[in-house]
Amino acid sequence: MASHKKNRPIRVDRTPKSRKSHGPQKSSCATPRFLICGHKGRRVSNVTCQKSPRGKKNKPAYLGALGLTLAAVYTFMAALGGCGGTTWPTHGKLPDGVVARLHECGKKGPTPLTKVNFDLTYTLHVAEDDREAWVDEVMLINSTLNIPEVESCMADALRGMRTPLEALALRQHKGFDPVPVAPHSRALLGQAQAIQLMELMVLIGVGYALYTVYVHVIVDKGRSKPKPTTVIDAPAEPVVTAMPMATVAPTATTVPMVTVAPTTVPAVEERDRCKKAKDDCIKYCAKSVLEKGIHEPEFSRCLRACMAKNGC
Amino acid sequence: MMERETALKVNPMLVDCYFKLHETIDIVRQNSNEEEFQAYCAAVGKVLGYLLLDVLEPIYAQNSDLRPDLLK
Repeated sequence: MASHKKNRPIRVDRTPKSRKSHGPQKSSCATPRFLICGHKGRRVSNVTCQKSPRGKKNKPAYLGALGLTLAAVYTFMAALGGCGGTTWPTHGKLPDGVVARLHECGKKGPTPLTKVNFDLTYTLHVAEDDREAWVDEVMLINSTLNIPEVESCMADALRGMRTPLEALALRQHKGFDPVPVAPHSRALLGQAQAIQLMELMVLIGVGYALYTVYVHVIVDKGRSKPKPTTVIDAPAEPVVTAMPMATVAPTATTVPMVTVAPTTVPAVEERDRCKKAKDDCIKYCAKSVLEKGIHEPEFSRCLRACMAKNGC
Repeated sequence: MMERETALKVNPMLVDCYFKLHETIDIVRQNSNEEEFQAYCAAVGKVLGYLLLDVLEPIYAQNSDLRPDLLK
């Protein structure tokens, strides 16, 4: 980062996130952020550096070595997928990169001549290991858009966010009291202990089309999936939906998915497929919602989400 | 497609039926063993599911203002 400034004395500003805000798009990581600053507070990183609080002269040799050490630690953390380069909702907002991608997705939608609103609700399931947490599954729960291309594009945009576990724990402790997760969301992923971390909303305007995207971030204790390698700000690569496909009878942990229809399916076959999907979805939602003593609106939401997943 | 006037008449009756069926689940839960309860849920779930997906949803597709809050 500061290699082109290496001949100048450098100072290290070690400022915890709690004392200095870097804006919503920056990491909310609770790990101290290390900034390499140039001579006389010259701006080297994207944050303006300040004078040494002691007002003494810098000691280039000592601090230079310290700076290099800390830079190495920072790089190491970034390599681990840690604080460096993380993207995660902060201050109730999605990262700018994610919002930008959602906007791009919106451009793939309709271009109405009058003002039209579309509501989309996604559930983001968070998995965690001993070091960090990441979004391992994105599900469309409800949509008034009904354009799969845009809906899946937005799902992909939401996928891949990650944060150090320490920051996640901090967020849970400070502002997001665990609340029971909507049963239809929990049911879609089995009976793992699930708590909702936060609810977000973002407005995406594309011409006369206004997309209101609701995002429910949920953490599932006891679930672990391989950490995704995709990074949200990386060039868009089509991501295959992680929802398991099954042609067998549904279980309590798998959303029933009837065989995916090819592009040229006769209407009769398509109707039969959706009829089968409907039966499976009803069995699934009866077992995972009604049997739990949960009624509306969860049962109807479960059915609609399940049918939508099957493209029916 | 159902006429709106007809939809206005049948919707309250259907919704009432739908939620009364839901209520029966709690009654059966309190008065039956687990096996009976599961069988009942499966059976009532079918009625509720078809009532919602095949009857109510088509009405709401044409008359979105008729959808009750509890089915949103």
